[in-house]
Amino acid sequence: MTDESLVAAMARGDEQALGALYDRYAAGLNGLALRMVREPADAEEVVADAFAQAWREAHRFDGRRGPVSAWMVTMTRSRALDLIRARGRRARLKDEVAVAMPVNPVAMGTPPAVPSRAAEEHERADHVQTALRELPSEQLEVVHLAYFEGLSQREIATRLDTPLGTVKTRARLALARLRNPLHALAPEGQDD
Amino acid sequence: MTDNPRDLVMPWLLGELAGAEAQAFERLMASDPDLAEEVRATGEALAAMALATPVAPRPELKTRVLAAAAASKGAVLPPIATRRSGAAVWLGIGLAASLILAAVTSLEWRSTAADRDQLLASRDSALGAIAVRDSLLARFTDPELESVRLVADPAKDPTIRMMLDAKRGRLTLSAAELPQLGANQDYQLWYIIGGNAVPSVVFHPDAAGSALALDVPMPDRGTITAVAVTIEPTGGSPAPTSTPRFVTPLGE
Repeated sequence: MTDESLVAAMARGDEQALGALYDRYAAGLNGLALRMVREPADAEEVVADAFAQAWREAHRFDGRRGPVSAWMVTMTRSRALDLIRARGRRARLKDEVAVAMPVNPVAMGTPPAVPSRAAEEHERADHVQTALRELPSEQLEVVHLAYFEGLSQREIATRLDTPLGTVKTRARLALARLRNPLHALAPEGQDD
Repeated sequence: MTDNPRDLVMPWLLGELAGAEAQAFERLMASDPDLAEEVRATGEALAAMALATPVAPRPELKTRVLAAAAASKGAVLPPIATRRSGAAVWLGIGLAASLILAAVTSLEWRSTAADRDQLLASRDSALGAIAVRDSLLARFTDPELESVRLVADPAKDPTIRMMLDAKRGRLTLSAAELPQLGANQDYQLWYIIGGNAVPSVVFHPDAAGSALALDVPMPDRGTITAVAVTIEPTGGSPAPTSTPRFVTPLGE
């Protein structure tokens, strides 16, 4: 059963479909939440909230806007950022950025073994892993601050004391490599 | 709008664009298939990155997620069990999470989502459960209320905690890890006033040994010298028929 079929079944009130979707994504989403909120109990709260939201809003899912995985990740990330902001942890996280940053690509781990996920998603995950391993640390840093800490590009520029144009360039190059690890790296700073 | 719309792919995906800026970018996507494809591919790549460090949550989280979903389809609170009809709202459960779990396991859910009225009623019921939880949290964190803890034996786990609201003449009771009772038995709370046991609310723990009572009426606190809990026949008794399992003195 595809992810999209499971979400459609959830929209009809099928709790077993929710359980199946949970089995596919809970570990990955919990890992995401844990990286963001840093505390296991908080991470599980975030995951629970994300699945609750998915259950409530399954009827609104539109596959044309992206796959279920991206939908679930977006909800989890949003809930995690809500929690971080609500608890005023951002300042503390800033101090911990050196610890939080996955500057060691090996620490990014391996994609979860999800038997029922489509092969193409496995392939994409492999590509992303490859890209993450090869990303220059300054690009990885920008992606991390934007994605896992919810900083705007302007905030990243301030945090890193780096021109906004450089931040934008790093982000664009990083995303290009994440989309396609074979993407040739353009020299940084052209937009500065 | 920035000079290079590619710079807005990530901000748009991360929800940082709003209002006119977001609409302008979406119009651009609609007219530029390459940009739209770039956005889609970037979104998938970011999702793959986000999922790249799996950490299994505790097994009970799945139970909780499914229970919450089931509850949202039509949670029904356990029946009220009190000797004083309308005097107190009894929920044969612990906190909201166990409330939902208990409801889930005791009900046969309707599987159709087509019944909108049922869904709306379910939502209202779930919201009610949340309100109960919030109310409980508010009471147990109110600095003006007096906390009383009843213990069967200091060395054992089962406890009953009460928050006494002297101004309102009400108490809130929360019990944890109570020993299970027979099918024909309930716990009953007693006020000891002038050497006499005055009957109060009757409660039955759920499968986890939890019980919760809100807005239990209490006599003038100045006359209560102790509170106690006994095991009584179902529905309670006008006078204690067993020795107290929990007891604690009140007042100075």
